[in-house]
Amino acid sequence: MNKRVLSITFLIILMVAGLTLTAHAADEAATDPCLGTADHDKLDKVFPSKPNYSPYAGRNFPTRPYFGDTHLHTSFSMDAGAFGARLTPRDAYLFAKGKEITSNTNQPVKLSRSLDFLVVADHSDGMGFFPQLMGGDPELLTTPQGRKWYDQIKGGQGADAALDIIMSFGLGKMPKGFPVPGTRAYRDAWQETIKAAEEANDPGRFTAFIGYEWTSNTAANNLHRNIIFRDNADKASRVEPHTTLKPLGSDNPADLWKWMSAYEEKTGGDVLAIAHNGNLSNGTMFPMVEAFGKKIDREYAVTRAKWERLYEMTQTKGTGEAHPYLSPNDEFADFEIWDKCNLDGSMAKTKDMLKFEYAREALKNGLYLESKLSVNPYKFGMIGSSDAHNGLAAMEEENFFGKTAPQEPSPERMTKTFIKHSKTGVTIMDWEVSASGYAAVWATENTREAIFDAMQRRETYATTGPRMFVRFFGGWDFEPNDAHNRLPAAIGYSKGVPMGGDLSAAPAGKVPTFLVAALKDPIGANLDRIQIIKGWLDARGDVQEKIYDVVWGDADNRKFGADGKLPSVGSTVDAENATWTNTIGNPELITVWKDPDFDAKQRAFYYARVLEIPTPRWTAYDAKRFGFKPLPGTTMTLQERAYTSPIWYTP
Amino acid sequence: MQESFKKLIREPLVHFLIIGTGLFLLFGWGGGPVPLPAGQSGLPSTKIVIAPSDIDQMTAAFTRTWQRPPTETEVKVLVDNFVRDEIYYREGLAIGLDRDDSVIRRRMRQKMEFIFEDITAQAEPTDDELLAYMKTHPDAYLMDPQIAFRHVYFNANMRGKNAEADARQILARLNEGMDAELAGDPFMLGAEISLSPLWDIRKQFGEEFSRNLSGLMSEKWEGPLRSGFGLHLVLVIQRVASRLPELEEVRKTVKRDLMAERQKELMDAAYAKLRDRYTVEIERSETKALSSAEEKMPQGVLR
Repeated sequence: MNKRVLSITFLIILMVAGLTLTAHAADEAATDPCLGTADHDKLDKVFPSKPNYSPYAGRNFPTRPYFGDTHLHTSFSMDAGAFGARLTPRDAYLFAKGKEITSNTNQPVKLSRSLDFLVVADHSDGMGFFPQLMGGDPELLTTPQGRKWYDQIKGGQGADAALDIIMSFGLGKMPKGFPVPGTRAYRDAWQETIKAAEEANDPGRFTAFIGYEWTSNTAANNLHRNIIFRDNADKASRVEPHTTLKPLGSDNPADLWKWMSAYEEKTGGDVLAIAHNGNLSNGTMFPMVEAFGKKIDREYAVTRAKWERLYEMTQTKGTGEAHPYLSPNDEFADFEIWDKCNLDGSMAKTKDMLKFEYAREALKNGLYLESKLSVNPYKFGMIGSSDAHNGLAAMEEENFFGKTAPQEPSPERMTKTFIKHSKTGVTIMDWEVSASGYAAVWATENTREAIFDAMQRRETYATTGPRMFVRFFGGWDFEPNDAHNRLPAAIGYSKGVPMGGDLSAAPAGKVPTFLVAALKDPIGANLDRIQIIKGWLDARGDVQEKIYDVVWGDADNRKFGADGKLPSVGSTVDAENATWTNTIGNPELITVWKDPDFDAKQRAFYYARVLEIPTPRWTAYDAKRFGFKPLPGTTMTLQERAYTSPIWYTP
Repeated sequence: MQESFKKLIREPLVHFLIIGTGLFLLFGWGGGPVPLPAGQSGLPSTKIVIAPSDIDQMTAAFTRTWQRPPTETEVKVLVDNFVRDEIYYREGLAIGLDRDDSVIRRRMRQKMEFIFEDITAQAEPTDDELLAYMKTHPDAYLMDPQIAFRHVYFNANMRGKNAEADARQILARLNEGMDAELAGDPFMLGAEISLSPLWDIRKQFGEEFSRNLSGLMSEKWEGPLRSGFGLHLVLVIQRVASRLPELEEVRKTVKRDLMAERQKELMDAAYAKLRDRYTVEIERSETKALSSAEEKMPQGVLR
């Protein structure tokens, strides 16, 4: 009984503490034997100097990206349940696999196409005592009640047994020795979560990861991390998730990393952590000086880089790549920005917090820290995910099922308030919630192991919802002609490292070259352009950034203007009718780009950003389908995009 | 003075205290039907007993989380915390803080449903039952046809109006033995797609393309087929027909589906029995009478 009391109390506190999540990651320094380099070595063997006659033989690099969501809540999350979520992890997996199900608000819902993988990342707690009754204890079956229930259940009278058990429990008339709720036998939701993932996991076709969210939220500053297991139930069920509530848990990420380390040591398994929503951390996600009263030192950098190799930089609560204030020269930085406050609106944002919250800034600051500590704590790859709290990873603009159960499609979501804090006056409307995003992973096959390993080597990219294919390779010898190769991937892997990898020791006279390619979502919009974003640490030790348009659609009649800017791709969006056409932009873009401003002495990173042509935002589809007038100021169109993991250059 | 009073009555804490006091006066200390731990009755007990088994349990939970046993100090903290939880819980129940709390109500419902769910999980289906379920739901288990193909891509965007004519011209030459390697435009996904189920091809090339591809029966180059990317000439290299799987191939899925169905039936049945014990009176104001359609809404449906 006491445990049940405890659980409820715990969950309420968790809920009050906040309801969010995000992700984030980093990595060992380039001086370490990093995976990018290792890959290259391996691939040298795959592509020996004398090539096979058949260009298709011997291909063992990833040939396609897998799309998924690493961050989905179901009714097992207290806050989600409080919002009215009824769908369970099992429902969430079925939906992700492309089955039609009934939403929390009784609406039929189905994805346009299945996802390839999903992590249900709930908070844990739970119950369950029947397995013990029915499974192990012959003694219980010698009691008349135990025997009766057992027979009822086996005989298809489960409902009668259930009610009888509940009533007996209420009257305090349980058979002696019966494991009642509140005892150690009490199954917890963690086991249930594991079970749902095991059932749904279908190697080769669909990967269901075991995972959970660790929700550090002190003062509503979002430091959340999702934990993903490479392992199956045999290992994952030997531990219980790390929590934030004292005395069992801790809100300090350093304690989470200890937990991760202890898990691996104990089970021989593998876990990774993905932080998210730095944009709601009010300046605490990517600290530069200290965290939790401790100086940011080499140990912090090494540990963070080891466990957090990815960062979730776009999701329903905004996109956190870059901020217009930090990147005034980036005409596309102002995209689905949430910069009013922390997680619950209890503290308003000030401009000085921003540089500790956004991915691009953290990548830049990581170079600076690396120059001081010799390790880069913020060497992370990019992914997007949903953070939906209704069990539905439905992040397409024209099929968006909201972040929470009340935000499932209805005319109200155009006008209702999501977060309002009376003290700060901060208000966030439902329409500001983003239909974003997904994680794309270049894995060799669709299994827990292969996808996890690809995440570890950061061969990933984030999308804001569409499933475009994006390749990005860096090396010293790419030539313009490589963009016309029949198998750009083969050239890419043989002459360079993929996204997430490392370049170092520039050969004399050489500059980094990049092979970058994108193919539109097969059922989505054409592409506007690909940009390469470079960040570097200059000679004076200051961080810098520059954005290069490297290849674009409609190139015949789009030339750089006198101001050095590429003209807009235009728009075919009819917002009122929520339509657009693929008459502008290109289905495929590919090029080789050479850094024109390279200095071999300066640390740098490069990542690609792929922009689609403008399309209607989910609000436009809602306005059209519900015949509802949007509030003034509602964003009705957007340019969906993908962001690759960076490739780092270390002198 | 009046200003500060106005300010005071806007304070949420003051509201809370007033409501709390009201509840206190209404239900009294321990009065009313306050739920108590099983087997107890009467006023909430002021005695808290920590049994060795409770401490074992806290220690075990700590160990599972931290991967090491707690120190003596940590055990003390655990126990203190446990006591604090328990006191707040009892006191909270006593003044009715659990009432009208949607979080607690939903959690209770979820826990009840967990119990029902656990019960379903106990009756393992037999092979006969699984087979029968599979046969009554063939569509759910029918395996997609598999196709391997080569294709030559024509970038409609680059070639504009000529794309289709170009494709037709190349089609003829391919069937006369032209090297496919030399034809068409480069394509990121490659020119050869290994044996893949149709659902997978649909995911990569879109609905229209995969539908048309599955209709190709010849052993020659055909097309052009349209996809979201442009036009494709296609040579099917291998096809494996759609079929009903053997039970062993889909046992896990069939079992999951059957159990899910049983679980739903059991939950509905158990709920119906509980529901029968209750009389529900819906009082409505005359101006806002429910429509008959709403009256017929099944009980237990989330509104």
